[in-house]
Amino acid sequence: MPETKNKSFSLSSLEDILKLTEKSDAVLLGPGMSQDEETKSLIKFLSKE
Amino acid sequence: MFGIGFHGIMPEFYRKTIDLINKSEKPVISLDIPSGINADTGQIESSAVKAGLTITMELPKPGLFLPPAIDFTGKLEIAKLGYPPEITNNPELLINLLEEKDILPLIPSWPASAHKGSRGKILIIAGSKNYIGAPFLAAASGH
Repeated sequence: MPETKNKSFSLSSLEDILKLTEKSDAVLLGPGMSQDEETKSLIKFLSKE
Repeated sequence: MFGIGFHGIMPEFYRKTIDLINKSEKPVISLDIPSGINADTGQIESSAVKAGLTITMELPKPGLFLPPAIDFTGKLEIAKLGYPPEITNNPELLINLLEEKDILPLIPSWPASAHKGSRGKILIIAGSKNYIGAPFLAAASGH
């Protein structure tokens, strides 16, 4: 899974994550995803999806 | 000794008195709030009475449920003073408290014959460098 320089989820992992969500009945986003700005954007995007 | 307006450091006399109460091994009942607790934040800056029972007046104070004060509240009872509904139903004063009884009905029960495949799949997107404990606990509770 692609990561940021702070070793957190990066925006480029979006596609992989979305693929995984299709196989799941429930999705838990967090905890512990860090305060990294790029990861924050990913979280905002995923929570809208 | 001290009420809901209390914050800051208390004089030594009161600290010693609280110490005596807490070591007395007698039933301790606090009225409104255990002395020494900050009613808004739950902070204890010097010392606080450790109550077995707190009888709070009309509206429970947030500090009674917050750490570290939550271990000093004991069992909580609410005494109605007859406040008008304009106060007790004032949306600005109302705070939600999540309790065990709110959560438990949301957890479905499963037949004893259920196996891991029959309970669905959860995807947990969590953790980062240095933050591995909470995702582990999340995964464990999904198990």
